[in-house]
Amino acid sequence: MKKTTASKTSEEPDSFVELCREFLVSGFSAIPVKFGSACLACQLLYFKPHQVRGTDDSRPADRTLFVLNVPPYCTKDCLNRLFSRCGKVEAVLFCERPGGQIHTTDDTSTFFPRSQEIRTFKVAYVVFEKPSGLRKAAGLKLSEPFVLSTRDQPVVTGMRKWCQRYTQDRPDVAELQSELDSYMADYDKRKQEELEKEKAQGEEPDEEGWITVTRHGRTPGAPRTEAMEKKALKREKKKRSRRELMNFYTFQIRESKREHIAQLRKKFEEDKDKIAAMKANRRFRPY
Amino acid sequence: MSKQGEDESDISEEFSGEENEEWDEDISDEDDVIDDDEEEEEEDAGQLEEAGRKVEQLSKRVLEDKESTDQPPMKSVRMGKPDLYRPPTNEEMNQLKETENLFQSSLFRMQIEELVSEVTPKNKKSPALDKILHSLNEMVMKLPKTDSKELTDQSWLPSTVKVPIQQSPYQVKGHFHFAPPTSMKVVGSYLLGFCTKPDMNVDVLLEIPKECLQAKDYLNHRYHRKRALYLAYLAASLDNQDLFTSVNFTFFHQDCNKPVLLLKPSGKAGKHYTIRLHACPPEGFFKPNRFHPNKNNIRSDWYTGKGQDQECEPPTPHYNNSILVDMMMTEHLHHLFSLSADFPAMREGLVLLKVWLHQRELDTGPGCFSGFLMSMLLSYLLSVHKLSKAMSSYQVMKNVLQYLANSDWTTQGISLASSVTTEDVPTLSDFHQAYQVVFVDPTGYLNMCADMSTATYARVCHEARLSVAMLEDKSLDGFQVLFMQSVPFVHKFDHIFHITRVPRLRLVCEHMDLQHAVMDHCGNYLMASLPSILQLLTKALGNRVNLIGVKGYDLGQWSIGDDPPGLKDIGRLTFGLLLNTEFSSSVLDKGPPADEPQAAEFREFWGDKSQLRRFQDGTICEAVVWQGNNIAERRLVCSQVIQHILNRHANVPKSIINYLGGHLDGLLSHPSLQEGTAVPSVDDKLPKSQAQGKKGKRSKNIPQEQPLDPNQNPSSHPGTGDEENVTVMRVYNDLCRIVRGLQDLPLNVTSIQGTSPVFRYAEVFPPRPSQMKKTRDMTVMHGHIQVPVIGKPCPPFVPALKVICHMEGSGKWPEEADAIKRVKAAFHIKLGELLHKQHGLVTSATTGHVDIAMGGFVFRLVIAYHREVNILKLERTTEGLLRERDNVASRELERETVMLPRLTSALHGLQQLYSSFSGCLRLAKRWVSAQLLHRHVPDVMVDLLVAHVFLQPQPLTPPGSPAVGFLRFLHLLSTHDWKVNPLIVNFNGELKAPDLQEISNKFTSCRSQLPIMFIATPTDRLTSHWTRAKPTAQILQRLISLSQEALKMLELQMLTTSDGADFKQAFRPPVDIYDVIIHLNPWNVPRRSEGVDYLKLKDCRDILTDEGVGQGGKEILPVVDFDPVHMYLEELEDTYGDMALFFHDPCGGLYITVLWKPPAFTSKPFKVTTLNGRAPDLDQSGEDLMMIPNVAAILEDFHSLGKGLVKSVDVKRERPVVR
Repeated sequence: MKKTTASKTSEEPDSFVELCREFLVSGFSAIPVKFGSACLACQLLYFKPHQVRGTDDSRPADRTLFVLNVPPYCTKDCLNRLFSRCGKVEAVLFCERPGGQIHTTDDTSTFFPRSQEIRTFKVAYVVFEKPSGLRKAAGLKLSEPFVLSTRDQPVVTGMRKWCQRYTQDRPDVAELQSELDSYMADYDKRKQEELEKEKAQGEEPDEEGWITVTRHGRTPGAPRTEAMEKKALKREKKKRSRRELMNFYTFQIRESKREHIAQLRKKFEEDKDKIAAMKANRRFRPY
Repeated sequence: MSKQGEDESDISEEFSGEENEEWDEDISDEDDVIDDDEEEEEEDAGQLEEAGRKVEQLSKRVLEDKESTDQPPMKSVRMGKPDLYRPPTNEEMNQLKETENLFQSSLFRMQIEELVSEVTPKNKKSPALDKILHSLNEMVMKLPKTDSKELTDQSWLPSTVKVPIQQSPYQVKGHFHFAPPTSMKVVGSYLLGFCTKPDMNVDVLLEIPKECLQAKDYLNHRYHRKRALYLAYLAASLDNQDLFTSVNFTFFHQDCNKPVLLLKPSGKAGKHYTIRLHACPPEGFFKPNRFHPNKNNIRSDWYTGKGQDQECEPPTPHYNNSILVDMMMTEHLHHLFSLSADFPAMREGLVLLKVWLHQRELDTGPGCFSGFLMSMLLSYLLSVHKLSKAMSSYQVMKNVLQYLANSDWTTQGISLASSVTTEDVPTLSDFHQAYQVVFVDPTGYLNMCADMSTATYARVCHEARLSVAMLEDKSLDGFQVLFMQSVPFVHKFDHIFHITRVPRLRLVCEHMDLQHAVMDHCGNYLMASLPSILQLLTKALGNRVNLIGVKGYDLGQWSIGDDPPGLKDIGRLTFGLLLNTEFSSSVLDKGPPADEPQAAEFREFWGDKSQLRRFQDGTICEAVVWQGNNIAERRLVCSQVIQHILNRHANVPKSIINYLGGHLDGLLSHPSLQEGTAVPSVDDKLPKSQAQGKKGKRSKNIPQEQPLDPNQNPSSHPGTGDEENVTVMRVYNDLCRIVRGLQDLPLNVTSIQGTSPVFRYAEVFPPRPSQMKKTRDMTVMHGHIQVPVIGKPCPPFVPALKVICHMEGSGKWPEEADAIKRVKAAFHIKLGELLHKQHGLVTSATTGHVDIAMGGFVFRLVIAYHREVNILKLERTTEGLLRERDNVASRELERETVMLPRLTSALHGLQQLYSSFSGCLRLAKRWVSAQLLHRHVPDVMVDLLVAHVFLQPQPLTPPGSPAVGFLRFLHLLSTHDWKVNPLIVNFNGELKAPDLQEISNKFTSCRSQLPIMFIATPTDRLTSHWTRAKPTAQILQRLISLSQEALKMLELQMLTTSDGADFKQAFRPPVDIYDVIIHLNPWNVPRRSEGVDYLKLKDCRDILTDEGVGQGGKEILPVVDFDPVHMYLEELEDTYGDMALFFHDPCGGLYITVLWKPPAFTSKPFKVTTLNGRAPDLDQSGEDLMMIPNVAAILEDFHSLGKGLVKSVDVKRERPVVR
């Protein structure tokens, strides 16, 4: 069906399947997977029980399988299907790189997703319901490559995926509007509360009698930003320079003359360097 | 003099000690040469001796000066800080000041010195050459005499040599025999020390002895024949000598009657020098007044073979001149020698000017502005006190250019002859009558510009004017643009045209009644007809052009055994037009009112093209109207004018005029339009299996492909997208007006600015208005939004034209980034609603933008709030201080809402200034994308480079046609030294000299941190924002080498190929370097119709047409900005970006090429972080498990990721893994 040149005999699936049976490198086992049943070549998933220092509630050490080299088109459902044979899977978590931020999709907002789909090879954490699932999975061997996209549960890629996305990107305006309204109502409420809190702070002295200066109290202070500090500094400098006379003393005039000659000399030196560099680059060949 | 000399020596001492020594050697060496000459040439000794003594004195003086100024030795080591502040000596002050006064800057001065030392020979070689000259002299003097024979009897010549001129008519009276020359002198630039590389010639003048000549030899070509025979005999006897590696003939200044013998010395001297042997009549043999421009020396009865009345013989000024040139050579040498004696800056100044001429190709071809002429001009300017001998080389050069810029030798010629004239010396008006350009030599008889055409002279003046302006422009590096950059003919002129068959000009001369001129030019019909053709062109084109150029041809050298080349060997005569873009595309030439006497003349000139027309002011005038249905056609009006006029008046048929102005237009016309009419098509007839993908039956369903011939219908120009640009801008302006006038918007709109490439005229194919009615077969959601469906071919591409709409600030805007996003989304919804309600437009709002269908286009309006960038930048330090720091999100937003609009408006302004900007920019874009590099260079980079071509065209003028602009874009890309120089795009001249200096200083000091391709603009001076991430050094290198190739190819095509040359060649990418090619299914490539070599798919719509729409169908929003190839590439790059590079041409590319990255193809140990896409290496030998890329699986993934789009994956070559 596809004109793909399997480059070497050694990379044919059979040899990989065989290899995976005995594969054990620094604790990792391997499983061959392929996209569709018609594919000839396969990618390998490398996995081992998850080990982590400290505790992690979402990825408990005794129930989590750590999977590497997960192809971009491999979905959570696929992994779920693959590992359910070892025991019920509680959750599958994706990560861009080992130890990275866990990729979440369960956003509060349908229209403003916080994160994008991961499109590189990724890392998966498969959390089983029971530790027995993990133990089984760690020794998992397959007799032939696991197919990710099946007739019953196809993985959507290519044109189909892009067409779907185009449709998804055109939200229903009414729904969007209602979500926006509720968000803004929340936001306004939150801001109002903050404001009142600040105002209250600005008016009431604390137990030692200090009053915190805020932007909203009776005597609002300037915001503490970098820009403001720079401005203040500049003002100060300007004030000082206005008080000084530049060419009053003889030494000042002499200094400025000296400076002028020094500038000329410096320029001359720079030019000489430039010429030397140009000469080195053979930049004087006109043709 | 003494002061100048002192300064000179002490400066050169100071700059580089070596230089000075060489200079001294140089002078003393000249001395030697002169001494040699003295030994050989007793007759001339007097004058030369005197000059030699002067030179000696000079060199002595310089030496003495050097010693005296040697006392305070300047340190050439770098000065430390205290050194900078030490008290200045007198000399130093003088010198610093002098540099400011005499030269533009010390840098300029040092550059001049370097340049001069680079182009002038190092003296070491001259002894070897002198030895050869000596032996040559001996050899020639020893040659035996031959017997006297009739001129027509040439059997005595050895068979190894052919007479180096065309002898027609062959019959001529007179006797000839060979005898050794009476004298042999070195003349010209070598002796004077004015030689410049390349082709350094040593001119040797042989005096033909009196006995070989007869008194009346000035008549009827006899002298020329004898001269040629003399040289031919010499050539035969010098051939096969060990002394010379080659003996050839060439024409002196391409004059077909003046062969000279070229001797390439063997050994070291031959590497640089060529000896040129000239022959001249003995001194005083002919009387100069015989050659008065009014006199006739070719009898018509002899020339035509018919009897003619002796009374009305036409004068033969050019023939006369050609003999005079030979007679005056020694005279000129003496003149120049006496001049250079106490004029130290003359040599350097002259070398500079010669380089200047050479870079502009002004010193080649017949009637060129040679170095000799330039030195004579220096002499003239000295005599009229425009130059003084105390001037520096910089001042000499500048003053000469200034003089040339304002001179006019076509009406006010100049003369070097002293004003005391005897009666037989011709007057200036005599010269003006006989020649077009006049510059008379010191003797008063010879016009040194006799062969120069008005075109050449006009070009010299034009270049001088430009150069003076460049010198005065402080923001330019004057040295670079004047001397270091070449000005090739095809880059200089906006349009060029060839007369492809030169022999045809013989008929032209007959037609225009130029028989006398042909006779005067000894049968050279090209030189005879050129002035008249130029005159015709000048009159016909009028203010359409600023300058007409003629490319100097070169007949080259030929071996002495061959027949001399004739005019037919030139092949083609090339003209160039420098357009005045204000008038060049006007379709109407208005003539005089019908009742005035000039009307008849006008009618006569234009022939049947002239018509009576009534104008708006009520006058009825003669007028010529040219065809110009669209802008592209109007740009080529000059072509119509030239073809018509040359055909009418000079009998030059259209078929031999090859006009190159719109030769790249085909790349900008939408291919589906080139066919004339769009082919009607019906979508639902599409075979189902085809659309659904690839079930193995592909062979049956391969779309029928029909090649398109762009030249099918030459009568109507398919246009180059200029009209489309205008239409888009018009609709966009309507939209702006509507948006500003919207009622009930909570906040006001402060500014609206389009940022899509089309708004800066940078879209290769500007969108055409498309039909947006609902049809039967479309799938529609929400009632008015069309969506793409799987199983149907991808809908035609409709770009979303992005418009940034800034809303006014208000206290109501929230202060959190997330909340601002929501408010903007709400604005999008509101805008959509209002536009629909108040103006009935179809809109679709999403969170990030609102799409508006209007006038056949889809605009994508994006709301922006000016504080958002700052809010994104804010971060709180540990001390609680709020500060602003750039981050990815803020940079992105700033680019989209601040920088891009600013750049767009700057480029928009550029298009208003230069009408060919858009065409040029789009050609450049098209080329970059056709070379598959579109994804690897930022879009804006091309915009900036082309802007630079227009903003800083020096040493040229801003391009007047898209094609020449494109050529210069390629030139800029291929020659700019990105490592050493920043590219500064100075919009509106906002950056002044100090700013430029600052940028370039900053650039030099932190080169390593800056992007490889550094481009500064007035608003982005030091960061080169646009090129920060891309291109990489490798891609830039590739871009440069590709542009060099393309440039070479295009230049060659423009100068040599005939009609029907395939100019698309430069736009076809080489694909042999890539490892894998992914072929795409053309049905799902929405922009397939834009390809360079487009093949039309049967039954498929490439652009939205009216077909299949019922009357009054409901308006909908078409599928917008939906390009599966783009999305596929993004996925590929995200997934495999660290293993491979992907290349694709967005303009109709039907394949993606893949190049594996070498670092990814090394085997690596099993490590958690480097596992992606790798599999164990099964072939390995070592103990440890190594991982290599799983290529087979990756190739299958290419298929899986692009299901429905990918047709096949083709492995071109296997990349071995480095183990």
